Amino acid sequence: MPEKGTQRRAVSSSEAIVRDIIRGLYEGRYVAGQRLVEPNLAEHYGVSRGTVREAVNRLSAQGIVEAQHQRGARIRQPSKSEALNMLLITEVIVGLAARQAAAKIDLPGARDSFEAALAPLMTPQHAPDPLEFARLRSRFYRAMTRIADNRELERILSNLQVHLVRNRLVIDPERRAEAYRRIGAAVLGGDEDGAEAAARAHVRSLIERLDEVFVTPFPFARDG
Amino acid sequence: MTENRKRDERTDQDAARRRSKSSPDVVVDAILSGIRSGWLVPGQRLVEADLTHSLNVSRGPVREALKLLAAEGVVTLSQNRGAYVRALTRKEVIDMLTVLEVITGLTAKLATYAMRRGGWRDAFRAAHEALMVFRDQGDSVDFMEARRHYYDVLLQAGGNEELKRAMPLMQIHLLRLQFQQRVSQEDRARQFKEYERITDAVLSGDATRAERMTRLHIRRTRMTLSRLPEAAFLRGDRERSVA
Repeated sequence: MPEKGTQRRAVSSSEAIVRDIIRGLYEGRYVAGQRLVEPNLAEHYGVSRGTVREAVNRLSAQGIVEAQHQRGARIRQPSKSEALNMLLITEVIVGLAARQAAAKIDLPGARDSFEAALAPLMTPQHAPDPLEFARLRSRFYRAMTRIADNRELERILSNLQVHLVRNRLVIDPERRAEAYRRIGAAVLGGDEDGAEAAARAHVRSLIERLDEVFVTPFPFARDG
Repeated sequence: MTENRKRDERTDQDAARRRSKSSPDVVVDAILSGIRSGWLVPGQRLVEADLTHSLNVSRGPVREALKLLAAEGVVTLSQNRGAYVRALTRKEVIDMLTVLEVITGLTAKLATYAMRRGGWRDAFRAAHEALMVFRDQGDSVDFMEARRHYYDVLLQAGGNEELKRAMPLMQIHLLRLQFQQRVSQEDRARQFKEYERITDAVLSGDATRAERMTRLHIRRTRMTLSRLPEAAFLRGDRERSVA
């Protein structure tokens, strides 16, 4: 968790907490199902409970936190059907990102940044450090969306909170590397249809095997 | 800072009783309802002092609200010129409609599945009829409301909560406001034909066709808007100067 001093005063303190918790989810400092205890957070971030409450309300509006009546709040742990709902949207949005990235891959700097983000995902890692892998994967999707250069796309993708689901999908490394290779080749080849199809197929394969790949890794969270 | 914080806490506590409405939320709600009712329009300036005065809140919550709305794409913040109700550049219009094409297509597809299972058909038929009333009438707040309702029934029928959250409803409303004066009779006629095709496909239970018809409608809208003259859009250079 970050030092108290790292929060910039320019951003309101509740907004800074919101951002830190979202970043923490990517980095594994916060996990799905985790309870958010108001006094603890207030102490940790050095802010009032009112500010913490405001941050929690905001996270709740964004679908990251669920408020539990009389029992505080916790990081949302999507059910399988919620995961399905998120992935259905992810399928079309990521497909569009891949298509637009393919269309713009020859703009200055695009190819280099895409290749750099793609390279580490193309070789199957059988025992990857999950946090490191999550970081590389985020970097890849970020690079692709940046090349797509569509702010609305970025906004929807970042609001989807798909990382709440992604970290709970157990996927065969060979298969995953193959999926990234396909998406990568189509984007780099400027093949818009192919890129969209490859990206959609990857998410589609997760949807179709949701029963096998979806796990509930944090049993402690169930008792609330 | 301490003052603000105390104030926030006080408002928070009051609010907890009234479904926890903090003061930034009060400002957010006021701006959103202003846009919905039409007294705030794309490009209009939002003066901080006016908001603090009329809503009786301090500057902190007003600034926070403006930042939240900016993050949602409803307000544009500029270092020199303050805050505006967002108006879209040509590129932003095209980008937004490109995204809407795929997510609204998905919405229609999911709604079709749901209606095939029997639910929502009457509500959707009613929404369609209510929309068709405006076929030969000009633009009005009522027409915008009927159209919003039509899509809303599709969204509710599909039952995908994440999609409801992802759908940029207020931005769609702003986009319509920005261009409603510029839609030709011919385009309107075409638009209503497209609604009929969408409704027909959805009720027929053919999800693939429902998705395709919806995508075609939005793609055609994108083509139409992209042919509008520069004056219809926020200028790109002004947009770029915004931090």
